[in-house]
Amino acid sequence: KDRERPKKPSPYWDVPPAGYETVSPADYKELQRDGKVPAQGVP
Amino acid sequence: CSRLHNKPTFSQTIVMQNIFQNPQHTVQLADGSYKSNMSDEDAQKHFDHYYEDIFVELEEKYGEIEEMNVCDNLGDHLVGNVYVKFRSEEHASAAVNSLNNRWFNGNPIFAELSPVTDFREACCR
Repeated sequence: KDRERPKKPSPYWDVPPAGYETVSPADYKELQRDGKVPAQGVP
Repeated sequence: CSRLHNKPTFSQTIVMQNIFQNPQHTVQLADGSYKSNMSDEDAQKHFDHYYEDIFVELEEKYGEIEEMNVCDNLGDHLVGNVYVKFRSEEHASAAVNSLNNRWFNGNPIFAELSPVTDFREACCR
């Protein structure tokens, strides 16, 4: 029988930008649109 | 993309825009060329972990996945886009709504429904 591997914490999911841990992703996108934070990742 | 894309109201497929960054492409030199310290083997391992991480999370949270494709290119066109085709439109819709309120690798996720149904026939029109 296959054993389930213990799941490692993801290095990607739900990792906010440093210093913006208390900002919501929607609010951060607003800051990007206003040019107040870098627009990296903006399509 | 400069083409006019119709955004569907319902679709099994979602796109997460510009979410994949190839570690072999991340060091750009002053002359505009790219330098990589990562071997092809390590890049493949990185990609395999990345793919599994996204696939497992999306399937566990939102529903069964039929197909997932990652765009790995250097040009602006579709760069780093990840396309995920779910079994049902409802799961795709719920995924888009939820993903737009989540972070990924230090960036907010930009997710939307995509009209692509057959990835082998996909092209911008």
